[in-house]
Amino acid sequence: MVLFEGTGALAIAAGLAVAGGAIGTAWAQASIGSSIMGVLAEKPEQAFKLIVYMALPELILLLGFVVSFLLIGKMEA
Amino acid sequence: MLKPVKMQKLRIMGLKNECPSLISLLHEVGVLHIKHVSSQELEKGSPLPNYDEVSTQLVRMRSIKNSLPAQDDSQIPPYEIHNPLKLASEISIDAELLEISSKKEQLRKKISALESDLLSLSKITSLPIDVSTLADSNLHFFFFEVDEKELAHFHRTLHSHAQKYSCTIAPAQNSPAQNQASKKAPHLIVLVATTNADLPSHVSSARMLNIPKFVGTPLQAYHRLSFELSTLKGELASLDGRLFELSSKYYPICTILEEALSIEADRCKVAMDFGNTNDLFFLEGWCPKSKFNALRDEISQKFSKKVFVQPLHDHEMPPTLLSNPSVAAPFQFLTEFLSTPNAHEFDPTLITLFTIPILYGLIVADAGYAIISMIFSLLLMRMSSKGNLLYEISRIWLYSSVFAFIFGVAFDEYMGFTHAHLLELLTGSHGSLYAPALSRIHDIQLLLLITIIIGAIHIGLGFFLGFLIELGHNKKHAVAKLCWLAAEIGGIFAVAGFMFGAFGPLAGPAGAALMLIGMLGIAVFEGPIYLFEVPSIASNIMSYLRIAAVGVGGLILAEVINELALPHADFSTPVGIFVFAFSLGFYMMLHFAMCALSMFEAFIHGARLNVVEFYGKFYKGDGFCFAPFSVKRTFTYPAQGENSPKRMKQENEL
Repeated sequence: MVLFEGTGALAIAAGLAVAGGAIGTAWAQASIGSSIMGVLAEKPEQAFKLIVYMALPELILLLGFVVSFLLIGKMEA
Repeated sequence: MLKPVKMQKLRIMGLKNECPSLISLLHEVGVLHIKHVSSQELEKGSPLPNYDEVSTQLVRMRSIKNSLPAQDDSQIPPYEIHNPLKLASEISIDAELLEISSKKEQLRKKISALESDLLSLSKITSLPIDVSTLADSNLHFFFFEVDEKELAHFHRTLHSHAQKYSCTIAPAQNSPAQNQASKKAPHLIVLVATTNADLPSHVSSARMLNIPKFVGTPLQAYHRLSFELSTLKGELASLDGRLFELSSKYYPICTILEEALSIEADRCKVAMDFGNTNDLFFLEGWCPKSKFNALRDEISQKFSKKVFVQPLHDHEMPPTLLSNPSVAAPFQFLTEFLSTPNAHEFDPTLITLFTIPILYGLIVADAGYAIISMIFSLLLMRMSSKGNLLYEISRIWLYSSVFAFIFGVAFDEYMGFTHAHLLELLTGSHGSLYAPALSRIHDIQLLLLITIIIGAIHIGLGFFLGFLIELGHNKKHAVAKLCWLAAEIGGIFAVAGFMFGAFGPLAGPAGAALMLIGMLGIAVFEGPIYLFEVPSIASNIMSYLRIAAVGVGGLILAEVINELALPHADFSTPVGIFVFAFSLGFYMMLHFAMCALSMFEAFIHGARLNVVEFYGKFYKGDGFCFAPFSVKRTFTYPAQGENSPKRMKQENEL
């Protein structure tokens, strides 16, 4: 049984790719952020290094964004 | 440049009585990183004998300086100080400063109390009555502030709660401005003389005023207190004047002595890192190899055979001193800030001088935002001081915005517009001046491919650097790095050949074979467990997709701002002009915010790709910075015999 097909399915998939990435990134950054606050309270000079770690999970969202873009490209084609 | 400065470890030993002179010499020369000597055969070092006196005088000078009104430090000329302890002990204004300080404190308290009394009295100066003439031990006096409308109610309250009382009523002494501002009915001041001491607890329709005890009429008391206040303020001003006199005489010398004594204190403390016997002292440290001979000659010239310098050759890790051209200074700052390379490894500063700005430029890639970010960077540099983190990052932004501009022009992006669209908006003319090299939205697949190629080259460069670094230390690890490089290149060709049919029919099998050889090498030279790390090469390369994703995300947001907030010019009516000006401001503000966001994101992601993906292939970063025992002088010259300059002022002038 086919639930979704055609451009509608692609659009839903593109949306899910970004939404899933955003939720995953937010989840990871919530944990990292609270830990970073703990470290910063004692070692504020480490701020820059910690911001780099904060950027690590953004890859999940960025890959989701890329996937959604490819899907939208396919949809337009 | 690509390697930290070579260091020479050395040991200095000499007679104990030469120790203070040697410390002074090393401090002025400032090329030796002193390490703590710990040995069971040697006594633990202790500070120089006059340390207690130096630190006591240093604290004294600091407290005297803080008690005096501050003066402009830039106006204080540098002096040559021979004996700071003697000079400091000759300054004997501590007792006078203490007395002035306590007198000022007492005066401030009195003035504060008087001002409060005056404020209270000022409300009842309209009452013409001398309270002292009504003095009676059975009578109590209360002052109330009553709203004129509430006066009748107030009287009824008095009737019901006081058997005997008398009232004196006068208008309240508020200024006309206060009355106008309050827009309330005029207030009255009522003096109630009664035998009932509990009266105020029954009065709810009026506010009781706390008036201090006074003699005579309120107005007379007010004038008397005003005179007293002005006398006290005069006394306070005269004390301040005396402080200014003392400051102009002693502040400069206290500042000079503070610096001279803190230099002395540093010299006294450093002896704690030495090792001692009964007659000798030992110290160890590192200096740049190029300066070792000069240092040894200077010591032997000054101390003859009383102090010896001996080069040491052991395997202890020296401190790291990076040396790069001044243009790379902010990137060197970043390298040291993230993790200092050890003294034997490769200094990646010069590579990041190009990679960070290029990655930043590829992410922002907007000529309009590049110009705004240049202005932002210059402003931030003016707002922060040199050597500060913000200053150095602003310099990186400034360099990187050049690449952002170049890529912006190449991709035809000007704050979310194409150049043709922008020309049409500004001049009304149609047509384009050039064809863009790439459209980041329409050629997204090509852009993704480019970012993957950039990632593959960047990571491959990391492996190759790792090979070069290990070649001098450990051949086995060097070969392993080559195997990683082979696995990466083989993997890329295998994926390109099998999945996309690129590079001909042989590319896939050849790539797979090369990858297998690489993996075999990794298993042999580094261990089979490292095979689990091989897929991380793919994820590291994929990580470079963020260049496209963050960049395209920024571009889409810029286009959305243009779509929704671009103001429409309507100069036919004043309202139209106002709406246009307001919406233009809002539109520009959105773009400034977007530019700031792009600057931050592009820098973080550009730096992250270098630190995590690139550095991970070759960089250890387990070094510690070279911190020479050196002196920084602003207000003092070194004493003669310690490299003193020709132009100097003499101590006796002070």
